[in-house]
Amino acid sequence: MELKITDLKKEFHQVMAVNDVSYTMKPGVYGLLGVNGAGKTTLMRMLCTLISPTEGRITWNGEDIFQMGERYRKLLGYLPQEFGFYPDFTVQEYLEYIASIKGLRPVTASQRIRELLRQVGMERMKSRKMKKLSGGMKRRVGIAQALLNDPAILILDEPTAGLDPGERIRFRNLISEMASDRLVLLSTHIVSDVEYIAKEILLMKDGCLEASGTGEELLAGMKNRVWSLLVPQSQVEKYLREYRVSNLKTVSGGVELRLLSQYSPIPGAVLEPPTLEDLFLDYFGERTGEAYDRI
Amino acid sequence: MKLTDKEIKRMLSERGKSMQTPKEEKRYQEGLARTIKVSAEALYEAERERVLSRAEFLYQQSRYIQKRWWLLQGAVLLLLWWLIQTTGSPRYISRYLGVTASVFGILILPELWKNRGAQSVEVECAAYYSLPQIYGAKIFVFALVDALLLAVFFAASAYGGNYPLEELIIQFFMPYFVTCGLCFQSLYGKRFSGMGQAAILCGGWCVLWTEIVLNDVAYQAIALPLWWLMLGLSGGYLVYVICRGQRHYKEILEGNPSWN
Repeated sequence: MELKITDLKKEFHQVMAVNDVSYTMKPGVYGLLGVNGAGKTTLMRMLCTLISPTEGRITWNGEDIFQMGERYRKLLGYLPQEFGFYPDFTVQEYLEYIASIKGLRPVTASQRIRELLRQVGMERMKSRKMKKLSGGMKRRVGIAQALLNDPAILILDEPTAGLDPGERIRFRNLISEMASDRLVLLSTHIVSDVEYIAKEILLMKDGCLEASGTGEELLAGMKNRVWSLLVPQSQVEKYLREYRVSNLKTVSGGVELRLLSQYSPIPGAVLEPPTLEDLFLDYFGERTGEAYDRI
Repeated sequence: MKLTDKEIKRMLSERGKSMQTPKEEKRYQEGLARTIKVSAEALYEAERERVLSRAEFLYQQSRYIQKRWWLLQGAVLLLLWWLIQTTGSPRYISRYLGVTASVFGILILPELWKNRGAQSVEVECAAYYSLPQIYGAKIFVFALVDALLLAVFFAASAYGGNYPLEELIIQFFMPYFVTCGLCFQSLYGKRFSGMGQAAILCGGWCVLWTEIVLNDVAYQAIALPLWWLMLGLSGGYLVYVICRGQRHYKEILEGNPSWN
């Protein structure tokens, strides 16, 4: 089982949303990290055959996914960033509808729906109308619909958006549990979503794949670059201007800063072990990219 | 050998009667439960491998169409039939036909527009039966029901004899085909701005058509063969719009990178 992306490009109105991306994925969880506008959604839409690449290829076990058509879609589970649903359907009706377009026969559909509602903790909500659900509940139904056909490839675009911390943990565990025999690609700009469960992390910026590898591999390049120091309140502005500050905490006697620097910023600064959040800050800065949202 | 439910029940009850001791009875019940469980699992496994056939998919899609639209379409035709029966002037009948045909066509909008309005297109495009099949199934089911409703309507109207059947067909189907064509053009368009856009287009067409029909000079100048030609062209336009939309459905997703 291998999903291979080769020299992939996608251009929208003279904007290169995905630029020369190549990568090979096998079963396991892959975390796609990047700020809004990095090209994550465009890449995922191409992986779901929703849009065609301007250049390049995507293959599943050597076969072009756009040529495979419904044979590929049969293997696919997809949760889009903005998950649309029919507001007047109940949860059960909605899942039955999705099961039907996924080609599941009624016997299989009812069994899968029962299993998944239990897994996402929505058993008691199955008769409730979709429009009456909270944001987190809708997201859980979204995850369930993506899993209905027991997909070999699961593509989740910002799946934890709108989930509370408890639901986030539950979701992480669910993904981890399922990932042993399938390929899961999960895009997010929340580092903790992928920190514990991703086999490999892909960092995407301005349409390009900036770096990839296991968490340890990526963090190896950050060694001796994360410092913590205590500074007076009056100097915080200066540090924020001059360094990339990943954390700022007011304590008695001043402000404790955690920042990235090649050298010790002041004598007495303490070298800290890097985290993925530091890495994210290093690659992307503090830019949130709202202006390019969803490219 | 295939047994009926009745035969299975009879055999089980006879088997149950032959049990001598409670221990035997218990063992029998456990075996039965195990057999049922294994059978259910086998059925589930076998069904898992199979994919919904196209006919089953069509049936499933028809289940999710809200039937009230067909009731409303039926009501529109009933009203039109009543107007034809009670109105003497052919000029007015032509006008009624043009307006009601457009309304009859517009009533397919809400059901077909549902997935775009609910932003469900992405999920549907990534499914085994993708967007063109979903639209195809819905269009087919609507066409089938509409054909049935219209067959009854034309039979009833022709029986009344107030208006020639030939005129009835031309004056109804031409505006109907154009209205449906405009609706589908809007549905498959890159820039979707809700049902309002299609409704405005159809409304504009309806006004234009009524003007043509009410203009005696223009109306009389068009000979019958020309009416049939125009009917053929409008039908061709509808088929073209649907076929083009079904082939290029991905433009819905390609059109706007920020659309979701």
